[in-house]
Amino acid sequence: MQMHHPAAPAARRTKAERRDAEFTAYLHARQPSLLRTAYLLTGDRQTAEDVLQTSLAKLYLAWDRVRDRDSVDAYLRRIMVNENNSLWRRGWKRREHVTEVLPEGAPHHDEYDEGRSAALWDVVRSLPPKARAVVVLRYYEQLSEAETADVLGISVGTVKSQCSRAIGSLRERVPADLHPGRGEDS
Amino acid sequence: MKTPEHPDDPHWESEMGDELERRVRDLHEATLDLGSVKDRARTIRTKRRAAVAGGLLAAAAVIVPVAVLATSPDADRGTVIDPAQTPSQEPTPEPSPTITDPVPPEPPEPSELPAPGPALGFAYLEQLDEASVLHTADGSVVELPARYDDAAVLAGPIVGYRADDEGNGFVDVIDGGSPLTVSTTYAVRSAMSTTPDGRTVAFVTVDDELIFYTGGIGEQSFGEVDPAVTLGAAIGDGDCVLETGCHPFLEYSDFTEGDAFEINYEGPQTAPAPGALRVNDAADGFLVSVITQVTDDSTCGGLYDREGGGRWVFETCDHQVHAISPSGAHTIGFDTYVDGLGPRSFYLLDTEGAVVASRTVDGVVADIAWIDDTHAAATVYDDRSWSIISFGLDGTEEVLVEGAAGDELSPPYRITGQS
Repeated sequence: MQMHHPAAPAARRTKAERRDAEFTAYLHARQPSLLRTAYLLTGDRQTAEDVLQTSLAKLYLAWDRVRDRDSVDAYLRRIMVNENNSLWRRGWKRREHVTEVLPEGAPHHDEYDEGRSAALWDVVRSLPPKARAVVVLRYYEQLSEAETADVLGISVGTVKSQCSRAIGSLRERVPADLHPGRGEDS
Repeated sequence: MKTPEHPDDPHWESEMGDELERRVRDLHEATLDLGSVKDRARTIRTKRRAAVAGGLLAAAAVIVPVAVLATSPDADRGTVIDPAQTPSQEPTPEPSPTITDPVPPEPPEPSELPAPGPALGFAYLEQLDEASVLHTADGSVVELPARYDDAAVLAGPIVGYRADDEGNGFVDVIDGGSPLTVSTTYAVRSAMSTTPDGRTVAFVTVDDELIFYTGGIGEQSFGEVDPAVTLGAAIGDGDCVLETGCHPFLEYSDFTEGDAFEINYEGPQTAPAPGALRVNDAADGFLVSVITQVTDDSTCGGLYDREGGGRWVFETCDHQVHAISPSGAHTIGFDTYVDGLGPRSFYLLDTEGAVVASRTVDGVVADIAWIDDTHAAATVYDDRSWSIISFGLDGTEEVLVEGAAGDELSPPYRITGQS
C-alpha cells in the first residue's frame, strides 16, 4: 500500500518500472500461446485462465531471478503444470468445474476425422494430470523427451512410458476404421 | 512397465499433436494485464507472508515501506496497552469458542503415515495434499487433521497454524486421541509464535486479543492490543501469573507507525532494543535480534542484550540478524536486501556479527532454525528440489530430509517454531 509513495527513491522506482515494462512485453507476446497450453492442461477455459493468472503472478514474483530470458517459457510451463496438479489435488476444483467449457469459438474440426478427433480429446481428458502434462508438452508444445522430462522434473523413461500409454489408449479406444491412415485413404 | 513401440505410433503422435492444435486454434484472447497479474501476486505474497509472519518473508517485506519511513519519522505511536492492565489468567481446559466462530477443519481421509525417522532434534511438517504430517524432534510422526504452516507440541495438545486460500489465518488446538480432533479454532491476524522452550504459543486474534496458549494451562488472555500491532516473538515459561512468565514482543505491522515494544514487568512500552522496529527473535535469556533501520536497499540492526542497563552485542548493516542459537553465541543472518521469494543465502554469525560460515542456494531458503549450538537446519530449494539440510559452524553440510520435487514457491517441508 505504500509502494507508490511519491518520495520513493529514484533507483528503486526505476528497477520496479523496468521489471513491469519487461513483464508487460512478455505478457503481450506470450499470453495467447500460454492460455492455449493452460487450456490443454486443464480442459476448461475458466480453470485455464485461473491457472495462467496464478502462474504469471508467481513468475512476476520471481522475475528478477529468471536471468536467462530464453528460459522464461520453460519456467512458466513448470509453474503451470505444478499449479494445475495442485488444483487437481484439491477436490473442490474438480467439483466446481465438472462441465467442460470449450474455448470461445468452437474448435475447428475437419469433417473426415470428427469421430477420431472426439476420441483423441476424450483420451486426453481422461488422463491423470501429470500424464496429461506429458502429452501436452510432448505433442502440442513439441518439446523433446528430454525437454519434457526437464520441465516436469521426471525421467526421460517416464516421459516415454506416459506417451506410450496414452497412444496405446488411443489405439484401443478409437474404432479401427478411424485409425490414422484409413480416413485419408477413403 | 515398458510398453513396446507400435508401428502406428508415429501416426498417432502426429494425430495427437494435430488434435491438440485444433482444440485451441481459435483461442486468441489475452484477458490478463499487468494489473491483474500484480493483484494475484499480491494475494500470493500476502498469504505466504501470513504463513511465515515474523520469519523469512517478513525480512523481505521490511524493504517495502521505506519511502514512508523516510517521510514520516514522527508517526503517531499511540498507546497500545494500558500499563495498568495485567494479563488475566483464566485457565480454560475446554476453551470457549466465543472469541471467534471459525469452522474447524474436517479431518481428511487417513493416509499412510511415513515411517518414524531418526531423532533430528527439531520438528518439521511434511505437507500432504490436504494434511500435514508432523515429524517431532524425537523422530515420531503424527498426521494432523489439516495442512498447517506451523505447529507446536505442547504438554497435552498440539497447536497448529494454517492459512486458507484467501490468506486468513487460523490457530487450531488439536486434542489427542485417534483420530486427532480440533477442539478449538481461533481466527487470527498474526502468525503463531512459539516460545523457545516450545511449550507455549502466542498469537493475536482477528478481534485484536493477544492470547497465550500453554499445555496444561490452556488459554490466557493479555487483552486487546492496538489493531496496528502484531506479534514479533514471545518468551517465558507460559505461566502468565508471573509477570515474566508470558513475555510478548510486539511491533507495528507498518513499522513507520512506531517502534517495537515488549510487555514485561517494567510496563508495555519498553523498547526491546534502542530504536528497534522489528523483533526477529528473542531468547529465553535477555537477547533479542532486531531491525532498527531500513534504507532503500538494506537494513541495519543487530543483537541486543537486555540484561541490566542493556548493551548491543553487535550492530550491523551487513546482515539481517534472526535466529539466536541456544547459548546465544551465534545468530543466523540473511542479506540485508531480500526480494519477493525470500533469501537465497544464510550466514552463521558470531558475537561480533562476523560470518563464521555461509551457504547460498540457487533457489530459496524457506525456513531455518538452530538444531543445537553448532548446527542450523534449513529448508532449502536448491538444484530444483526441496530438502532439509543441517549446516554447521564448520561449514559442513548434511542432508537430513531428502529432496522432493516441486516449484520454489511451495515448500513441501516446514520447520516448526519459526515465528
